[in-house]
Amino acid sequence: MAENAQTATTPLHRTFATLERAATAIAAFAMLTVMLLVFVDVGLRYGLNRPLPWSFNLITLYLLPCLFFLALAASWRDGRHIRIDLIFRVMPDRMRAACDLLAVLLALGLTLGFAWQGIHLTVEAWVQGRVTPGVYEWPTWASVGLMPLGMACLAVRLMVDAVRHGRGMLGLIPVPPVASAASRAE
Amino acid sequence: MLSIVVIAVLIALLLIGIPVAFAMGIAGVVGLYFFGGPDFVIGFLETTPYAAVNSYELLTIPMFLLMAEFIIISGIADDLFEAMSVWVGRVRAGLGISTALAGAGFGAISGSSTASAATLAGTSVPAMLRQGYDPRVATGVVAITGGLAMLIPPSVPIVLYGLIAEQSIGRLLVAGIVPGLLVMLTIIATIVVISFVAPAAAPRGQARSWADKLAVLPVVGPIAVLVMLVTGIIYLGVATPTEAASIGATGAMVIAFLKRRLTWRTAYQALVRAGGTTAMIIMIIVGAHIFGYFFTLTQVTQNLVSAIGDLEMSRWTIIVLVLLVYLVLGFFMDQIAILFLTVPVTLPVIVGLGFDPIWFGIIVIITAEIGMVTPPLGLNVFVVSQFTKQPLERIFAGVAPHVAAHIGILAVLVAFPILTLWLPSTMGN
Repeated sequence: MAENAQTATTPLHRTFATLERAATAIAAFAMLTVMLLVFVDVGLRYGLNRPLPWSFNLITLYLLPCLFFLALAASWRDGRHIRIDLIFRVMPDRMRAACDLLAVLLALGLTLGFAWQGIHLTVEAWVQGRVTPGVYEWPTWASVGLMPLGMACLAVRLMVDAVRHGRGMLGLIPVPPVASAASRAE
Repeated sequence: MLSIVVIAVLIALLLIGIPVAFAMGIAGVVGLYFFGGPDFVIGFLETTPYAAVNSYELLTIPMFLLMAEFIIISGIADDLFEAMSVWVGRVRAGLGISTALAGAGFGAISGSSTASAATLAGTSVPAMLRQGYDPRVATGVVAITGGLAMLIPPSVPIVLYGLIAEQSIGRLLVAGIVPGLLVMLTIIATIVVISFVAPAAAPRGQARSWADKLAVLPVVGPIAVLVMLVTGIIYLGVATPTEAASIGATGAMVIAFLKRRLTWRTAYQALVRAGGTTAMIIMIIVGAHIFGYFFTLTQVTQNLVSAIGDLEMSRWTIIVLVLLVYLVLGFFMDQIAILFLTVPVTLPVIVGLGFDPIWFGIIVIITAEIGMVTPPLGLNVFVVSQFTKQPLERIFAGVAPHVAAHIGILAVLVAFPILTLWLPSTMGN
């Protein structure tokens, strides 16, 4: 993962890199917690016939959105997104950078759309003080808000990449070779 | 007309290298915009990401991915090949057969085809080369064996198919077992045939004493425990596949810990890698949802189903044609991408023709798997090449007889759906 260290040259880049790492760490922690929680829950259900009554809501409302959305930026950074690179890999360097730039800008448009609408939903849930029905009242804004948070992180990552690909396209910086299929599978 | 334009947009976006998740999302947004205007699109952007992932069953994906990561850390898969080769002993093409058996064993504790190919490439290929195997034979068997991990539970592609097709994930996972074992036997048969045709290319294994055989047995212990934890639990219906996946991941973590291979660093890396892949798949699900809404609104799928229903063609001809399309797609596209792009359209057609959706899922996965070992994409061949430093052409040549045999067993599984559907039919509820 050599590109992780990438262009962290300006204070802005460094701040964002730190935030991205924090979001990734929260997603990782959420994954570990879910794994152990489900394990314990099943154990208690069969062992003592006393499952954890709050675990389902905790997982579906908060831990899964953390896991799903907060790792988005890191998954883009690490090049985990599946793409069809048959033509892409044989393009000249600067043309490839141009396609990458287009990909990033289109993805950015979609991501900002999600983030903006997500913020709208979150504010709505907050203002109306929505909670889940049932014995435990869980506030829904904290759950809904994880989506725009993750999308916003991804949007910043895409902006950073857009600058990089733009400079590559203009020939200001060298364009890195396409990662081999095997290294992506790692 | 609009749907044709949107499909063309999607294909264009995919061809210039836009990640599948975003290509589907953007093409879907374009379609929805021209279908219902800007407000219509905004409504979908607001609800889709949250609605698409609001499913407890989705948790199965990260848990199976995490289980595979912990298995790799634990190193038990490396011991598996050694144990198999000791037990297979002095038979024709002994190490080749051991590779196929180890691949099936690895497949039963991990759902990652490339991880299986990488692990086996690191252990079995050097051992075979030392025994004088033709490098083509040695690398070919490893590349094809990786695919077993996608069929034998746990399997990430099978879970994804279940989510897309809205079929029971438990039944689908169990349905993969018999085809997985048949594919394993096919690989072994191919190796044995090669050893008869060219005895020097795949020599006999070494005879081993019973003391040796008993000494390697402890390796099987943790693997048996994991198989019971995942496949056993799902088959018996003791817990849901989601719960079984979490238990399997916990079990794999404990095994990595007991083998003293788990450190804070490796554990964190496993979580980040599984998390990154999960986020990628989630984004594809979101993109596929948007694209799917557009398809539903324009009734493309229903029109296609009724058009095909009106064809004066045997349903078997149609399924063969559909599978040929999957075979070609597999040459160019990742399996996960193929599932999300095509199953929402092909499944209604296939079910409309009276075929079983669970059987179809297994067949599609076996078909698309062939692309993992054929040019130009051949992901598993690239992985094996990277780990063994053998040239790609050599591995592609070595895997060719296996591809032919694979297509043969695929034809058998297509002709006799009972082979796939029998085991899930014996499951409890």
